[in-house]
Formats: sequence, C-alpha cells, structure tokens
Amino acid sequence: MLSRSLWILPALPALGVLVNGLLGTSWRERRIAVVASGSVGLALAAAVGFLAELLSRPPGERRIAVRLYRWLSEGPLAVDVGFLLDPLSMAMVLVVLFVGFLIHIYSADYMRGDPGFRRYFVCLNLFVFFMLVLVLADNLVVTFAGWEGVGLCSYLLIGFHHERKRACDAGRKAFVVNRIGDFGFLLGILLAAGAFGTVRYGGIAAVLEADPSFPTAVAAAVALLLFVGAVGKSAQFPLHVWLPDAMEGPTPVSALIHAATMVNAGVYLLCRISPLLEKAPAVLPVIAAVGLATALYAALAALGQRDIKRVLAYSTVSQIGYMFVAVGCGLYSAGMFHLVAHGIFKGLLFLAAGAVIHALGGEQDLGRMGGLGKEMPAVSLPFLAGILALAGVFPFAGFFSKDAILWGSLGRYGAAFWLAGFAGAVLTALYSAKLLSAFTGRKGHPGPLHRPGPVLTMPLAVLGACALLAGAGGLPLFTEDTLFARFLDMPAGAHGAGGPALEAALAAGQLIVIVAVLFAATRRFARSRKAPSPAFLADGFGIDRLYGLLFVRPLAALARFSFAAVERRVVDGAVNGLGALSMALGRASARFQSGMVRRYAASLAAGAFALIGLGLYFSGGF
Amino acid sequence: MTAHGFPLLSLTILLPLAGCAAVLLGSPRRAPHAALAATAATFLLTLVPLHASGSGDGGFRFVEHHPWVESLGISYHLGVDGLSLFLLPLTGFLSVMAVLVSWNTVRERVKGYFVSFLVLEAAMIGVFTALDAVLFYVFWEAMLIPMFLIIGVWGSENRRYAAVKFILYTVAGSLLLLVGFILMAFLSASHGPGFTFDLTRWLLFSVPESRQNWLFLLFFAAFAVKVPLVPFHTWLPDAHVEAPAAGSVLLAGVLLKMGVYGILRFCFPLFPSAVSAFTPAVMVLGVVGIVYGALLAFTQEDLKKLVAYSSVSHMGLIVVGIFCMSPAGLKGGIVQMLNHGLSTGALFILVGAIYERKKTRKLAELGGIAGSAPVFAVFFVIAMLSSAGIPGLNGFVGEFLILLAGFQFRWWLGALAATTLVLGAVYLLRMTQRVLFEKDRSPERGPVYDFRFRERFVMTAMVLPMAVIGLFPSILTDRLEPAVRDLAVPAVSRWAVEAPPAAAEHIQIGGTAREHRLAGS
Repeated sequence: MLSRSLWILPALPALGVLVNGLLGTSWRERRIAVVASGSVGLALAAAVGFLAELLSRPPGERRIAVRLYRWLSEGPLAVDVGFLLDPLSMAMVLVVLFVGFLIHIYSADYMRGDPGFRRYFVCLNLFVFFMLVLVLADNLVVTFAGWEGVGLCSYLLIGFHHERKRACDAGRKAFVVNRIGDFGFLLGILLAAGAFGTVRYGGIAAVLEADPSFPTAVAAAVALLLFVGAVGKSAQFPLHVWLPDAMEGPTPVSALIHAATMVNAGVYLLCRISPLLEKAPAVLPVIAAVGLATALYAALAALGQRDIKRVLAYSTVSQIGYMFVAVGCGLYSAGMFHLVAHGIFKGLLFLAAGAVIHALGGEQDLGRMGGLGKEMPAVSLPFLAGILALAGVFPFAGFFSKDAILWGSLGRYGAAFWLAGFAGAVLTALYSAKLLSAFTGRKGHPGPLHRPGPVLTMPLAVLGACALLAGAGGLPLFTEDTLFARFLDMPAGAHGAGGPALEAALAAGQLIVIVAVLFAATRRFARSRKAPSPAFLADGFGIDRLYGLLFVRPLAALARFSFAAVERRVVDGAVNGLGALSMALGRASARFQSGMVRRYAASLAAGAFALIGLGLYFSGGF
Repeated sequence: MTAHGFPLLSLTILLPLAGCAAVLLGSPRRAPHAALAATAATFLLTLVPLHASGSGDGGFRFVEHHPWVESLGISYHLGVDGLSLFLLPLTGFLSVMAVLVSWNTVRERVKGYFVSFLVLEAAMIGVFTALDAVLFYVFWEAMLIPMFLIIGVWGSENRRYAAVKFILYTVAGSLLLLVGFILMAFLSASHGPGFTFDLTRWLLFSVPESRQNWLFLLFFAAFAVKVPLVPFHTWLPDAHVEAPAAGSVLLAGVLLKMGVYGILRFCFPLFPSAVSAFTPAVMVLGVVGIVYGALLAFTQEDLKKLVAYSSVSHMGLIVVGIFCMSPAGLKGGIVQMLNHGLSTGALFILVGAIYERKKTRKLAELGGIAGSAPVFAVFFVIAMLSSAGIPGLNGFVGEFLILLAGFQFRWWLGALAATTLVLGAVYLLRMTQRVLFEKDRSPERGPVYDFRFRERFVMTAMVLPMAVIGLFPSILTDRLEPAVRDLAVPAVSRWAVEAPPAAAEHIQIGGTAREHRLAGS
C-alpha cells in the first residue's frame, strides 16, 4: 500500500538531516553529499511512484490522505498532523524534489572545500523536509509549521557565511519580514479555527459548501489574513524587501529556496484556500492588484541592478507577481503552471549564474561580464533556454504560462489591466536582455575562466531541456482545458472576453514585440555594458530607506526611549517622588533604614495603587 | 491519613533535605555528587504522579492531611492536581540541571552552595503541593532565604544590591499575602466552615462579592511581583544579572512560575467575580508587559538582562492566557509556564557557559562563537527558536493556545498579544547574531571552546523535552484537561466572548456533526 506511506516523502530528507547531522561529524565531503542528495533522490523516486498511483485513478478521486496523529485538541477544534496528496500538492512536490535533487547534486561541486560543507547540506535537507511538510499538510497549522520551518532554513542559509555581517543582516531581515507576514497567517488560522471550528482545508471547504449563508465577511477576513502571510513568504509588495538581500546566501540556495520553491509557497497557499477565495470573490481584485503592482515594480527594479543575482531576485519577485495576478483572476491552474515553469527556468538561471560566478572567481557584476557564450557553451545554452522561457518566447514554458495569465486578466479586469500586464512582460524582456548580454558581445573579464565540470553542468542541461519541454503542459494552445489544467483539476476562473482567435492574435502580437525587444535590447546592453542605471531603480525606489525611516528607526528609538526614559525615569522617577513620602513614613516607623528599602517599598506601593486604580476604574467602583 | 497510604509528597520534600545532610556530612569535593544524587532521586519521585494520573477526576491526589495547630485551623495538608502535576517534574528536572551546571564552577563555600539549592528545591516542591495556606506561606517564605543567599553570596559584583532588592520586593508582596490569608481565615469563620487555613475548605464556600475585590488585590499583589507583571518587574533583571547561572535557571524556570501558580491556585477559585472585574486591568498589564518587555530586551547590552526582559515579555503572554479563563487559555498558560522554564532555563545555562569562558556577558564583547564552538551554537539556536515559538518546538504550543484563547476573548487582544511573534524575532535574532555570528569582538579574552560531555548532556536533556512537547503536545494538554475545566469560567463573566453571533454559531456547527461527516470524505 503505497498510499499509506505518504510520510515517507518528508521522512527521507529528515533522515538525511539526522544522519549527516549526528553521524557525519568526521565524514568526507563525498559521503555527506551522497547521503544528502541520495535522501532527496529517493524521495523523488517515491514521489514519482505516488504520481503513478494518482494517475491510475479516475480524475475525481486523485487524492491520498493520511492522518498520522492528533497534535492537539481544544474543545471543538482538533489539529491533526495529516498529509494530503492531490494534484495540487503533487505538482509542488515534484517541483520541490526534482529541482531540489538537481540542486543538491550541483551543490556537491559548488560547495566543495567549504568549511561549512556538512552544515550546508544539513540545512538544505532540512529545508526540503520543511518544504514537503508545508506542501503536503492537510491543514493550516501543519502548513504553518512547514512555513516557519522553511523560513528558518532560509535564515540559516542566507546567513551561511556567518562571519560576514552583510549575510547575517540579510538573514535576520528575511526572518523578521517573514514573521510580519506570519503574524497575519497566524491570525488567519486563529480566525479560521473560531469561525469554521476546523483548520483542515477539506473541513473548511465542506463548511462553505454545506452552508451557503456562511458570512462572506468572515471568509474574506480569513482569506485576507492568510494572504498577508503569502505576501510575506512570496516577497510581494510591500513585504518584498527581504528577497534581494537574500542573495547573500550561496547561489544554489538562491536557486532552490529563493526562486524555485519556498518563495512560491504563497501562491500555493492561495490555491490551497481557493474555496475561501471563491466564497469571498471581493478578495480576488486585491490579490490581482498586489500581484500586478509587484510585477511591474520589481521588473523596473530588476532593470536597475548590476549584480546578476539581484537582477534574478527582482525578476523572481516580478514573476511571482504574475502568479498572484493569475490567482487574483481565479485562474489557479494558470498560476500553478507558471509556478512550475518558473521553478524550472528560474532555478536554471540561478544555477547558470552560479556557474558563471564560479568561473569568474566570484564576480557578480554584469558590467564585467560579456562574451561568455562561446567560452562556456555548456552554461550558455541552458542559460539561453532559461532566458527565452523567462521572457516568454514560444515554444518555451514561459510563453504558455504567461499567455494564459495575460489572457485571463483581459477577460476579468479589462484592457487597462491587460495592458499593464503586457508592459510588465516587455520589461521582463528588457531585463532578460540585460542578463543575456553577459554571454554576448566582447569579452568583459580580464582573467582566465575556471570551466565548470560535469557535476555543475549536468543539472543545467536537464533543467534547460525541461524549460523547453514543460511548455507541453500548456497544450493545446488557447484553451482553458490544457493538459496541466486537466491534471490539476481545479475550478476554472473567468473565461476570456473573445474567442480563441482573439487570444491567438494577441499572443502572436505579444510574441513579436517581446522577441523584437529581446533582440534589440541584448545588442544594446552588450554595447553599453558599463552604463549606469538610474539610482532610484538600482535601490528599488528607496523602499528600504523608507521603511528604515518609517518603522525600523522609530521602533528602535521607542525601545531606547522605553529603557532610558520609562524604565529608568518613570518607574524609578515615580519611586523617587513617592520616596519623599515614604521617607517620612520610614522615619516614623524607623523600621526601614536604608534608602534602598524606601525606594522599593515605594515603587511597590505605587504599582499596587496603580493596579487598584485600574481595577476600580474597570469594575465601576466598589 | 494518606490517600495512597504512602507519603509520597512528604518524601519528595524531605529527600532534598536529606541531601543537605549528606552534603554537610561529606567532604566539599563530594558535595556535588551528594547533591546530584538527592536531586536526581527527587526528580524521579516527582515523576510518579504523572503515571498515576490516568483517572482524571480533577481532584487532588497523593493527599496527606495531618492536624498541625488545630486551635488555629492549621494543618499539614499536601496534594497534587492537574495544575501542579507538571510543575513538580519541572522543578525536579531543573534542580538536577542546576546541580550539573554548577558541577565545577563553584569554588568557594561549596557545601553551603549545594545546601542552599537543596533547601530551595524542598521549599519549591512544598509550595506546589501545599493545600493549607499557612503551610503554603511557610514554604513560600522558605524559598526566599536560600535564593537570597545564592544571589548574595555566590553572585557577581553587584550581588548584595540585587539580593536586597529581590528580597524586599518579594517580602513586601508576601506580607500582603499573609494579611490576605488571615482575612480569609476570619471570613471562613463568619461565612463558611469555621476558622481554617485549609484551602480545600475555603473552596467550599463562596466569598461574599463585596469582599472579593480587596482580598483579590492582597493576594494578587504578592503573586504579581513574583510573575513579574509590569510594573512590578524591576527586581528581576537585577536579580538575574547577579545570580550565578544555576540560580538564574531556577529563578526563571521555577520561581517565576510561583506567581502564576498562586493566581491559579488561590485567586481564580476563591474570588471569581473579582477576577473577572480585574480582568481588563490585568490584560492591559499583560499586553503592556509583552510589548514593553520585548522592547527593553531589544535595547539590552548584557545578555542576562536581555533574557530577563524576554522573561517579562513571555510572562505577560502567560498572564494574558490564563485571564482569558477559557480552557485553551489556561492550558496555554500552564504549558507556556513549562516552556518558559525550559527555554529560558536553557538560555541561562548557555549564557552561563559563555560567561565561564569569556568572563563577559556584554554583547559588544561577544561574537563569532558559531565558528569556534559549533555544538554550542546549535544548542543556542534551538533554545532561541524555542523561545521564539517556532512550530515543532514547545514554545509554539503555548503561544498557539494562548493566542487562540485571546483571539476568542477579544480578537484585538489576540492580535496585540500576537505581536510577540514579530517582536520576539527582533530581539532574539539580534541576540543570536551578536553572540554567535560575525567576528569575535574580544579575541583578547580567548576563544570560546566548545561543549564537552557534561554540558552536551545537560543541553541535550534540556532540548529533548522541547522537541517532545512541540511535536506531541497532547501528552501535556490531555492531562491538564480536568484541572483546567474546573478553573475555566463558563462564560459567566460580563467580559465573556462577544464574537459575532454568526461566527459563534459556526463554531458549533463546524465542530460537531459536520466535522465528523467530513472525516470520512
């Protein structure tokens, strides 16, 4: 019975953590890497087995649910540790394990010789474990556990080089900003627990289904609070600020956590709670608006970056914005399709960037790259595939997924929304060209290249092929009923305004514009490599400084004020004031002789009086 | 007259005292061994009630009741119920840890040191088991003396100042408590079963509403100082900073629990209407404590003060939880008491280990420990995460239950209390970065060498229960159910839930028939 052993998926990477963490203290790197990659590889094999099992069932019954044990029960609320594998979580599991497996292999070479080699793989395995918990959870609390767990791993891996202050600061920032989102997530869980009496996704859906009179406002409130969590984890505006800084982490980490898997968890969560969104459709425009604003903002910011990893980071923020747009249009399968496609091509781009950085001895400045195409074809060809997929060029995966999203937004929110989305796609082509220019034109680096070995390039080749092949999920073209949508089997959103003919015409028009922009811009960027970009683009419109001004510094000032003024002056000041009184009393009673005694007795009395006063006030007198 | 025929609780109190005798009779070199044997045996005894607790009738077990001063209605009355069930093993466990932590760090007056700890343990167990007010008071005051000595004799530079501050605060509070006890005895003579200090007999009559508020305040003042609830907290940072590591562990781990325990043991059952009258005021202080403690923790430069202020923040959350007076809040509060004992205890042990190596606790002089002492760093991160309430470890369980209760009590109260999620991350990660990461800021003080066997053992013992509680909290919460059901006020107070009727209705529907039907689908 394969279906009963769903726990094996998260258990395998967890085993990797334990083995490497407890036994691997004196192991050689090779064995550590084999254990870590092997555990993820085995999990991937198991996942493929589960996929076969799901596919062997008729479409309506493709779900495997396992309840492991009761975590906590409180009155009517029962929280179980339970897993649910349906097409939605299956898609995520496959992305996590497939990309995760390739990145484990890649890392074995990339991290070679690092003193923290074992720590790196322990954290990476731990991440895969938590990610699988997040994805497979059948209720909000277990999802939250995975959610915070991946945040923790992200923190540990961003700050992997912990002797560098910048890396530590970036990790801390990521954790704190994520916690702001998690604050909303947790409140959403608490509200859901009160309103539905359950935190199980299936239970919530069933309550909504069975009771058409369920207050829409409550459903909307739960959805919005969970959305806050999604905004934090998926680095959407206004909580996006942590992701560009997160590039301090090793590049494979950026590929796995900050491109392919964790940052997409917000999109996944929103798809998971789609019954809530359907119940409260007023939330959808909010999601779409946040997504669109983020997509445009981050695409502009990406244009202003010189650091190859920061371009990719802003690009990730922007692409996830498109996924949010899809969800906001009710197009869950289009959003998930873009998630899968993006997971592949963005993971690929990061890994390729890592190979470039490796080859150039740590150089990350696009202005000092160029002409790499001919020198390292094993990197540049997959990179090209990734870029074409990112820009949305037919027949690469990004074309299919982005077209579906733009088309859906036209039907749901009208021409202006579509136009803005399309503008974002043009911006995407522009910064894609900027990335591509590292490989074209004249040689931009002085020294010799460290050519990457097969362990580094093999994952690139595999992912490059996938960036091309994954587009097949979007077939047949210009219908809602694509292969991927049929597999996912989620409610379809609003249909387009016109027919397939209009969609095809628009898609063709978009394609021509994008290819033209991509081609022209790549040549231009290659010529003016060193040209500075506007400062406001480079620092992401100064949002970081704004937050510093609005939140960080006032909070720090408040904390200092609390200590210096309130704690030292007011608490002690009141004590001093009362001290005069108690001095008289003290002399009279002659019992307490030291000044100290008086102060503490007085402060105690002051506290007691304050409490009594408060009590009198609230209880309406005695 | 003992319920089980065997005076288990008396034995649990006497064992540490027997350990004292052994320490005093033996050589100073053997003192730690004797203390370890005594605390370990006591710990095993505190585990016994856990096993016998299957029945779950909510009443007291292992009761020992002997007349003491019959003319004044004072008796020797001990017992365990769900409320004290887990606090006893916590006390026993942390006492063992305290001995292990002090194994070879104490160099002068070794015998006196361990005797103080053993007396302290006996008194702490006495407080948690006494069912007679006078007996309770005796143990309550008896705790102060060894703690005063531990801070005042074996503390650091400013120890006398801190010790005096500590004792004055608590003595002033407990004097009020004594007055309260005496008033209660008179009240029971006039309104109840006769002049008595027996708590179980106090529970038999209802205190007149007109007297409840003042009596509540007398009791509460003593307990609020111990919690400590803002603004009665200023003794805590000083006491922690000056106390030796093991002293801090017991101070934070057990002594701070006495306040909440007292509130639950005395105030809740005796003065229910006063409790609900003062609930808003206490809630305000609790929430202020959460935020204020966190803000102050953020500004601290001394590690121990930082952890001490984080305690103020955490204890505020616990107070908020129990004053929701719902089963979830009470359970959350009690679970969080244990969690705080573990996580803060662990942090104090780690800080003590740093101090032992570096002779400093200043954040400005630390850093880079993750590089030189990776095992230490792993334990530090786990303890920090437990304190930060990350799911999978114990802290989250308590936070979840408390916030659940807070949210249902008043949604905005739950939301305010939940800011601990963000604020906690802010100060804990700052601490972690300054201690573990970046470069060593005082290389002249030598490197921090890693944990060896004894410290690894201690920290493993601290960390394992964190994971067990985090993953299987039902072990705790199911056993707390009966005690909590008695304490919870079933929506009689005028501060009870005012959730929108629609939502309240759905709690019912969602929780029962429908959920069952769904379980099959």
